[in-house]
Amino acid sequence: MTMDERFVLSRRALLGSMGALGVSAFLPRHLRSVASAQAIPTRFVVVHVPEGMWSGAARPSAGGTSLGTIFDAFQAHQPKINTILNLNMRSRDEGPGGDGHHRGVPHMLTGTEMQNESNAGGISVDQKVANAIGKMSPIASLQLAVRIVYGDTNSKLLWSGAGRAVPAQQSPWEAYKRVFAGVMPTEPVAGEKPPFDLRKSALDYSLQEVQSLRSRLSAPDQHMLDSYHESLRDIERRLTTLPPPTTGGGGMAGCTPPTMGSAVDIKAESNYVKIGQLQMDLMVAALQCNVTRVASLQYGNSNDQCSYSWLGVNAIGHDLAHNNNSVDSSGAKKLKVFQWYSTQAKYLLDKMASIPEGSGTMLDNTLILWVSEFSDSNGHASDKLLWFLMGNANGYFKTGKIINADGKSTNDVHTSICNAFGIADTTFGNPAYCGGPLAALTA
Amino acid sequence: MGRAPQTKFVSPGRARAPRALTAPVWLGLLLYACTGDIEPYGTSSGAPADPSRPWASGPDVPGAPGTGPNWVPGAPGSNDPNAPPGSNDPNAPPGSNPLDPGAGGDPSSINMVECITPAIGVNPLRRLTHAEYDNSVKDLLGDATRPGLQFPADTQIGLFNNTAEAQTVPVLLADQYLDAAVALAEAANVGTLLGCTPSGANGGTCLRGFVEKFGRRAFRRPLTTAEADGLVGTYTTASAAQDANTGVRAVIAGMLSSPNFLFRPETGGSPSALPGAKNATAFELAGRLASLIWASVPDDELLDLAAAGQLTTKEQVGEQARRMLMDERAKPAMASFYFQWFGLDLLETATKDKTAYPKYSDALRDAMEEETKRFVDDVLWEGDAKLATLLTADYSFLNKPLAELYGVTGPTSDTEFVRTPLNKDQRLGVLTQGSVLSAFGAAQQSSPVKRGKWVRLRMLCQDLPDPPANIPQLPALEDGISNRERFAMHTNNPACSGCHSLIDGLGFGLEHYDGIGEYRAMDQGVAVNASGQINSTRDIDGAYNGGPELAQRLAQSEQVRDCAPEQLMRYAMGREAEEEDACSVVALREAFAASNGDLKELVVALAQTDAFMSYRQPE
Repeated sequence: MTMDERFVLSRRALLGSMGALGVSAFLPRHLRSVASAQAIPTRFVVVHVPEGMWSGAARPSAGGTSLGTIFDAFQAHQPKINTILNLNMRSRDEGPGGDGHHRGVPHMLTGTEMQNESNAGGISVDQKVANAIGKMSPIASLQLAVRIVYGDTNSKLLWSGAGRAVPAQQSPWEAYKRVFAGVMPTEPVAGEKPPFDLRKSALDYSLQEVQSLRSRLSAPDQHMLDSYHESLRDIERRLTTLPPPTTGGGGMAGCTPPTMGSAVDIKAESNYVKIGQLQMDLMVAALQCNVTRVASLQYGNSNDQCSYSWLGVNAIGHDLAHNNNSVDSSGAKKLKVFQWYSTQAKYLLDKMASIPEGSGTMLDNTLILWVSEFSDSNGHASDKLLWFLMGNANGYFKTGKIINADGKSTNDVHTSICNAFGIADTTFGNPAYCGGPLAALTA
Repeated sequence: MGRAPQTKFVSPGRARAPRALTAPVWLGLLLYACTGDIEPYGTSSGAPADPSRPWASGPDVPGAPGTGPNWVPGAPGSNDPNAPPGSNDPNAPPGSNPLDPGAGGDPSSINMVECITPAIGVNPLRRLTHAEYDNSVKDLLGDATRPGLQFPADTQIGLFNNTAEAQTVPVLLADQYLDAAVALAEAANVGTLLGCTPSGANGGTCLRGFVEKFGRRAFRRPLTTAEADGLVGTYTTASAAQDANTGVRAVIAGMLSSPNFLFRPETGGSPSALPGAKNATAFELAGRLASLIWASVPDDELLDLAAAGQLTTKEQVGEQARRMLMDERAKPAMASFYFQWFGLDLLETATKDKTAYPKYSDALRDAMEEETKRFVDDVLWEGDAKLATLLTADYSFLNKPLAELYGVTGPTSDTEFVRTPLNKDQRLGVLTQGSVLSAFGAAQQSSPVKRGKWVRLRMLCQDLPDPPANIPQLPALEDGISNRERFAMHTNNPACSGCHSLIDGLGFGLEHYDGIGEYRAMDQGVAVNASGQINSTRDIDGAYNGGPELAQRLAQSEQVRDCAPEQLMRYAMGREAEEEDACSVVALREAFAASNGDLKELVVALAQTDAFMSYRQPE
């Protein structure tokens, strides 16, 4: 039995034993608010899928309700989704940068020119939201990914600021350790003195060291060191957000860490489906337990290297996207790939919709931005984008619409998202590429 | 040197204008122009080269950052505003060869650089790479668990994953640093590490001795009194709360999460004659040497020399570099440089079509990686360490499946790799090994484009702009049309030929190797044509035929010989070579030439450059 499995069992046992006592008295402070219907947090999730939103089959049309052939898998959730057509990532071709993949990913959620050819030039919308609401949870934002095969700019989606990429964890087992074993308080053993907290000691020591080193560095080096300093500070904040382990632990009823099973090779394509679903399980549990309020899931690289063997496709996504006749003359394989991603959206939506919260479900209290940086990936086109906003962020958005954004900027969507999370800004990213919130989303 | 009539550098951080799609539709195929400049690698194209050619699966080269100026071809075409449309003219007509020096150009100046005023580039603060982290904790604690494998991958900019610019510490990594520090401290054998008892009568001396000795290696310099006092205080608190061993563990966990361990701050240098620069202290040099040669922390011998003031002169640094190269720790560290230079990090996830290549498997791929690892090790540590040998050796290390793939006999085991003579008409050197050919091959076929670019970028130090979007489909694979013929449009159409004349001629010579590096006489039912053309180089232009001849040409080239030092410089400094580094680059190239391309001497010479022995903090 692994340590993680033991942890799951002990938590379950605890939850069982607490049932008769009434849960809330035993909840750690950060979870108490979640238990009451009045204070259900609103969460924000970003999911990135590679190689655009293909247009080779029937598509949603503005004003209608049908999501069409490609997205049919999650048609049942359409009333809780806003489908936005014809968005334009206006910043993308401005400033330095490489090709559409290497620009599109860092531009997509930051909406401003890159700092140089490797780094985004500003904060991404998820991090902006995390700055506003993340500090109410132990982990300000949680980044997960599935099989990113190379670590250059075309995988760098999230940025805490110019030049500061936010990486994602590709192993759900490692992520589980961080989210549940690392953050959730462990139960004290009766009669035993709690062990000395080496981690806290190391944290305190390194914080002091950072401060003393900082004064000896030049300004640009201080800036680099500050990335560590701020991270340590965030971890320190997390410790004060939580009660010490001695006060007893446990989560709210229904908030149970997922069962992870044994770890498998995260680089093997044959585990792509499994890893993706485990990451979604983990993400939903982390949101449900209020370990975090902001999360992301990134499938592969922008330059898709998966060959979708479990679908019988056996051709690399990037080749398919570029219309390689040799591998997919009819487009049938491409359809399979894009439809498969839709089934993964359905998986996430079903899961959230199955968790009761307040008078509705978790989906009602969540906003999922489901995106790709291209409309047509063969042309690396970043206009005519099709993005989905799923869930209504606790009633903020009026959903069920298929909206023609008519060339409006993706930054407009980001502004609307910021507004939904209480950030009063009137623009997002570089204002030159923003026309303010997208009114149709809330109308 | 003196061969370069002039040297031009490109300003740092230059924004590249978006590349308009200017190519016409021709014969139903939308073709792309290479009207943008071809830039010596590093100036432009941070431009992770997009492998977005429809026929080419898989990532190509993540490009260099736009942060470092570099030397450009000293070609009049690019320097003279009155020159005919040339490489830097965005309005150049399709078909202009961006590397061609143009009318009156002097090919002998390609990638040349001149030392005019001694200076050095800036040295931004560097964090340990995850490999350095793992090696360091192994050397400090004897712990070989390699926790860094779980850290979010180091960002690759350009060819290398140790670029200072990208070495931030996001929350996830900080969490993992703390977790690893605790796990390593908990696993440490306190008794063995200390060799004495930290509690009791002589406990104070024992503990302080450990703090100072361990700290000196971990921080790569002696601790200040205040630092040592602080760590003793950490011990006191933890041992009072639990026990003496826990106290020691708290000291270890603290040091392993300290920025003085995780970063390599350099702040103690003495005044230097170089503008804005300082001479690195002996301890800073020890840290630099350990990072470059061992990808780890210094050993006590190096630190003792530093303490004794005997790690100051070029001779002393050179002597230590040679000693360190003889140490086992140099092998994996140097192999990592070569693997990154050759782009072999792409091998692990190179996807191959199972129908086209039923022989390809994880096991075969791993064997290819092992082959190159053993080959590089052999050339460097058993052989003559010459660049030419790396490029043209007529032997390699094969197991049975690889021998079968290569069509040679000898190895009889799947697990043992045997030094085996190659068929010299078919293969010579690293470029013809399965690892390179598979990592830079397509899923179903060879890839003249990826392989040609491999040579141009990695061996000749010349980068190319990204391909544009909207690349049309290549003709489908079919019998009777060789893969090479599918690329004919690149050379036949002026819109393509601007760039592709610089790429394809280097890749066509490798057409005898299929997508997994198997030698073939026929391709798609057609006899292979492996004739190639080298152009726009300083000294090896001309026609050739096949991989072995290409390898030999490269081995004879001064431009290639001058490229290797540039690649090592990038790796060693964690940044692009800058204009101010010109004198260091010149010195390095001269030393490399003088040693007849000895790759170990190249490391020694690098350690003796101004760029390595002094530093300039960014402002």
